[in-house]
Amino acid sequence: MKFKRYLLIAFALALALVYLIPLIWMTLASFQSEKDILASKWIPSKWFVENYKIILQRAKLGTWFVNSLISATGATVGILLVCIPAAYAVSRMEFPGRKILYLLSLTGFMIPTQAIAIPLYLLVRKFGLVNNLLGIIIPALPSSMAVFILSQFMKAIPLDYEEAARLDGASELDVMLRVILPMSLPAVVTVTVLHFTWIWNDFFWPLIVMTSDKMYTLPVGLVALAASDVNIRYGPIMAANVLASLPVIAVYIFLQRYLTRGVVLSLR
Amino acid sequence: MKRLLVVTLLLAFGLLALAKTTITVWTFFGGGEGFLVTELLKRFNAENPDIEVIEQIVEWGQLYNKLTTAIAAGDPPDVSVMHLALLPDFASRGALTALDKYISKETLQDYVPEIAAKARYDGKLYAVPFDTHPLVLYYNKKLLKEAGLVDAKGEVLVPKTWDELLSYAKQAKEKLGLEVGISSEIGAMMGERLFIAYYTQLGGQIYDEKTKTLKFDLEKVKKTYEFMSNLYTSGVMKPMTYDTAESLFQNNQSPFHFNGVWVMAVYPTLEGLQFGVTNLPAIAGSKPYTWGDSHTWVIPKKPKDDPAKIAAAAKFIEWFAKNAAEWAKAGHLPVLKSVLNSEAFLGLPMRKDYAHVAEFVVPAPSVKGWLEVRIKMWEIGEAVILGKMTPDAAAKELVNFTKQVLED
Amino acid sequence: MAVYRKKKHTLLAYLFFAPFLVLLLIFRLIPFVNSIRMIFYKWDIFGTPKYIGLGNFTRMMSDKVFWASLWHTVYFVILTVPPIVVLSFLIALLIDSKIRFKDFLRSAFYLPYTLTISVVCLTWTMLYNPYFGMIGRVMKFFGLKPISWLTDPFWAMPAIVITTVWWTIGFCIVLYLAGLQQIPASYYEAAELDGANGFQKMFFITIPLLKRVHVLVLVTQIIASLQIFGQVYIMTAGGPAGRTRTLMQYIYEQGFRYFRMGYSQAMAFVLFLVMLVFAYLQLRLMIASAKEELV
Repeated sequence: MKFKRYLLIAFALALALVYLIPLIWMTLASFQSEKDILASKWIPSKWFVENYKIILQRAKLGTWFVNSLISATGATVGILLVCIPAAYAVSRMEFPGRKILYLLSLTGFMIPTQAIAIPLYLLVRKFGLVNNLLGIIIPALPSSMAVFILSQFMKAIPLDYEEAARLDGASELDVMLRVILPMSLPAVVTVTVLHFTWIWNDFFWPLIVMTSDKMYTLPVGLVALAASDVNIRYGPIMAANVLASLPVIAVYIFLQRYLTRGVVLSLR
Repeated sequence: MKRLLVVTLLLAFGLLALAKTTITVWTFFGGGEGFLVTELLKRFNAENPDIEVIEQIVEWGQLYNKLTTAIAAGDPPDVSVMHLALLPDFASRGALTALDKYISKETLQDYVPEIAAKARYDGKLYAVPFDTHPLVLYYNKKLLKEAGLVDAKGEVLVPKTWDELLSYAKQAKEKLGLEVGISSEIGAMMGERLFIAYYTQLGGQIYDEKTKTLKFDLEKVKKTYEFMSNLYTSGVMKPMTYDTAESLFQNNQSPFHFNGVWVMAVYPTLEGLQFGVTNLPAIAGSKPYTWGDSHTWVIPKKPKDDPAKIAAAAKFIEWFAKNAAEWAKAGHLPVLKSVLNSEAFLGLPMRKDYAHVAEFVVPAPSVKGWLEVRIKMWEIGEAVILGKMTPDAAAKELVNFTKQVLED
Repeated sequence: MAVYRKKKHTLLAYLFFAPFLVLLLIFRLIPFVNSIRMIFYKWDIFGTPKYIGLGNFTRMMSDKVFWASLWHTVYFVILTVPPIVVLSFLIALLIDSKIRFKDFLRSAFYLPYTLTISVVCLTWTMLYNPYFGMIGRVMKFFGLKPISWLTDPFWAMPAIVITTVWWTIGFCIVLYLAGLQQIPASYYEAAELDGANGFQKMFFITIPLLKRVHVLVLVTQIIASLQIFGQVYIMTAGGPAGRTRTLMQYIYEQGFRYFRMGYSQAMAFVLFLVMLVFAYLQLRLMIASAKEELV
């Protein structure tokens, strides 16, 4: 019996290890000279830090990282600011036209960015937001996904809490900010994580909207780097990959506890 | 008194700063080429204090999309780089400013003749070319010596005909146990560039003078595809990506290599690589025609012409063309005779070996729609090489597609 | 005791909803309407749009590349989604079974999902290199001839699929783990008392009770796969010989490279219709499950 368990554990660990091989190789290759890479070596014959030096000197990795950070953070904060009141109105307030507005808020699900890329681009251009981080942030703000998740969660909060607050003289705004919002934290966390990741990883829209290489976000910048500079090849590209991934991995390790909790709660 | 002087000086500087005309330039030059451009820009700015040129690097694969939308929206850069081959696509749409009255006569007369003609569309000058970059043949001296492909004096045998090239490549590959005899990318390099070289050597024409449109000779296209397919079915070449093709050659794993002259910015600096460069082989009886394109500067059209900016921009691009010897460090060939013959240029490594290739460059047809046709050629070329299309079907596909694009 | 009744705060409600509504209108609904209009015009961004009725659709019908792209997209979905669903379910089961190192295992499988698409694609492109990539080396070790994945017309799409599956599973595993946690242990205990073995427990308890997760994973992955763009653009640019060109890639090429705006938009509309079916399904199912909870 016990043997079966150990076998299972060993199998699981082996599987996980094999699964991570691409990442392991990526890290090892980032320290290899081109000769090593072309010889398909695993361990570098000598730890070639030059790759990192080249990237740090010549690639605008820092700039791209900051661009990604600003656009992802700005968009996420903006989404919360815009969608929380909307979700609250549609889920916890009584007013004529509520159902219609609710359905309207869900139309975003039906309209993926790719389907409207051209008119959206022309529109953003008209507003002068091309090659500008706001060109990423502002179109992302009306998120049907956010409104849906938040409203579903808010709807489920029992009226008692609200009633109690009102008896104490709370206004609608107070109720939203001091009662409902704190209790919706899991949904807020889910929305935050989902949108932050989604905007951080977005490739298509930043590719279209950004013109100059100073304004690229990280994903677009990395690809441009790999495509254009003949001196930056295999080793340095992997070094760039490692540098680009460290912050995200660090954040993930820090947040992972909350992530599972949020997913569990949002599944309800 | 002193205070008055300081204030006046400050005001003067302020006014001077205001009096500066700022020019934005879009380029797709990164890496080594990018550094050269930045250096040249700095020099120009220093020599011309009333103009400030600011550079914006746009990714190679994206520049034309972004430029087009910018022009259509009315706020393009003041200057942009553009391949000569794509000039018709833009000029025909009224997207560019005519430069006739801005570029000096002496510069225009200094141009290598074929280039000067191509920089015009409908009789007007729209571009200032500053280099040409043909497709050439690279050979690995170390490997060829090891394979015994040397003459009586011990000098490496340089192939002059296709048969010679294929024979040497095969010999070296087999004797040294290498993966390939010639390394090259399959898409653009084979599908468009090698194709045009061989097709032209066969006597094929792309541009029809009478109808003033693109016209391919079906039979010759078919022969070209047969030739290309043979290169791979014989085992001398294998399908691979651009960076792999370069890596194999650079690391002494391929005796021959098809590539443009732009790699001369890097190859001479690589230790352990002893190589030579020469023109492509020729079909017996033909000159060694090859593909080539040119980088040019263009001034996109704005809804309202700003004469001061246009003049400043024109000044910059003419200056750049005249100083192209510096730019030629990137490997490209200058197109102004004075630069081509200058010590500064000829003194660069190996330039003497391939400077003559410029006269064998087949110019791209000056027809709207070429952008789309040539990208299709990459795809058809790949299909033939990968055995997915017979040369016959491929030839018909190319001819039909060209017709379609022209009718659009 | 007075029954608590909500006061009507109509103006306030609209105020709360306004920013969202305005932004939705400007950046989603209006472009959407424009995109529908664009379908009936021929426009190359420089000139004036020309009305051509259903011209773009007739062009589409006879365009070999369109049909090829559509097929490639469907092919990609077929190759990608089942493995994602099945593998993430099985791995979640493995992790959830009473073995140690749960946290490590879950993190290990989720890690690739945290990477950006570029990092994933650039790394895998090198792994696929037949001359020095690791996959080639492993194949040589087993006596096989290395496949030139990304330049092989047959293997290029599977290569992209493998990379995509590797990248995406992590998230689905977490979803399944969350779902598994919600299945009360008592169900399994009761089954064991009735003499059920491992397989029976899985088929009659686990799988049915995870219905919501199955549906969620299935539908979201199908929708995402239909739109695939990044992996193709970065790893093969639609090649070799156009064999991995998906519909989204073709829409991008026609719209942003050749500026056939009307035509590109018409194709985007077709893609959108296909996705609409699945998006609607997803919405129905999400609302249904949300309702279930409230009952």
